[in-house]
Amino acid sequence: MNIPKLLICFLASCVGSAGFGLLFKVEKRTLPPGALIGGCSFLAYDLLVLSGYSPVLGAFAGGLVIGILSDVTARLFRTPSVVFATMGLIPLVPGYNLFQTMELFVQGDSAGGLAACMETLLIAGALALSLGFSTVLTRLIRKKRI
Amino acid sequence: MTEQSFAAQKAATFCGQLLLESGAEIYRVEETVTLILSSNQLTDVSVLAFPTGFFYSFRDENDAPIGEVVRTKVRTTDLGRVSRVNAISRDITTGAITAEDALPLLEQEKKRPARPVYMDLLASAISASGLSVLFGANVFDFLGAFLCGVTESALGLLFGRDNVSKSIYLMVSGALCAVIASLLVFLSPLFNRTPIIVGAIMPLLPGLAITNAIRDTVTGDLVSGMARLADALLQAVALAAGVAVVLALWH
Repeated sequence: MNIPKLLICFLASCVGSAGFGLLFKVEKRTLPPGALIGGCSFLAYDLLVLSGYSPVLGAFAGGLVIGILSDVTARLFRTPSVVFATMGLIPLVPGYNLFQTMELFVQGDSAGGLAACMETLLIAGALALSLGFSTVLTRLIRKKRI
Repeated sequence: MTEQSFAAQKAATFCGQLLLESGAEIYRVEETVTLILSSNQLTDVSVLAFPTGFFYSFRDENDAPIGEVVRTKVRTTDLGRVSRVNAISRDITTGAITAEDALPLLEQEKKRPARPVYMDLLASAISASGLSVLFGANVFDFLGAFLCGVTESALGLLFGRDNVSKSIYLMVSGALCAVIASLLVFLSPLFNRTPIIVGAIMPLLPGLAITNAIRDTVTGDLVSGMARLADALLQAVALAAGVAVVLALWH
């Protein structure tokens, strides 16, 4: 496995998440943990994809990591978990697949475009499902209001 | 109504409105309003919130029913405001401050001055360029994505916070980013088109909207969940269409 490349991707997704957090005006104290959650979620996704699993499963795992970490951090920082989840999610948003879909359609490859479109939707669905899954989990074990 | 109940009602409306306008989840809005009212000895509290407004009713000390409808017109994303209003509402609920004391704090939060423009530009540029690295950007692509990030944010300031123009804005900025990327590739072979465009469109994709839509759906706020999902899909399609038009013309 290519460790330096993984490290670069980890750092890049941390930076991307931090920039996204800044864009949505999060409080300064919540910026570092949000950025780290972004890095961790992409790491989980990348590790699964590099081990030969499908990106859809990777997105599901990444979404679970975001959901669990953002709920734990929300408790520690006494801040709504949506703040951390938003920052953590951004590296996993299927922008590349969306672009690929458009490129294939524009080139006239409708079959390839439909396949890419399907994968984009599946990844988005897996992300959404895993976030919903972890929301339900934490609501089940929640005792104190954040 | 007593002074205290009146202050509680004002605080509840204020908190709910600020949260809803800043991109909080629906259940947070409903829970906040409910807890502020019921922690001030008001009974039978019912709240129904939607992405475009909320209404609630309760009974005061004399058992008289009272209701209020709040329509929200702006829908922005300001997660810092969500955190701060949440902290204020928690303090009211736990009794750390009274609802009356909270009103000036909420007023202050509403009038909080906007940050300098360069921060907005920088934030979206950092986000776009950082994410472009994930898709195999070299140093030049990194700079290209940085440029796209600045452009799309500047365009966002130009379009303003009007909801009607949101999808038009996404379409135009998607197209503009694709034009910039194609131009850079045309000018020099050092650039790659894919990482620049993907990095540039990532911050514009409705990630938060989809997350909130799903959270709303799983917590039982079906109407809001579906409304937000439709909104998110519309945004994604608008963005994709903007990029696709340029790609097709350039092809």
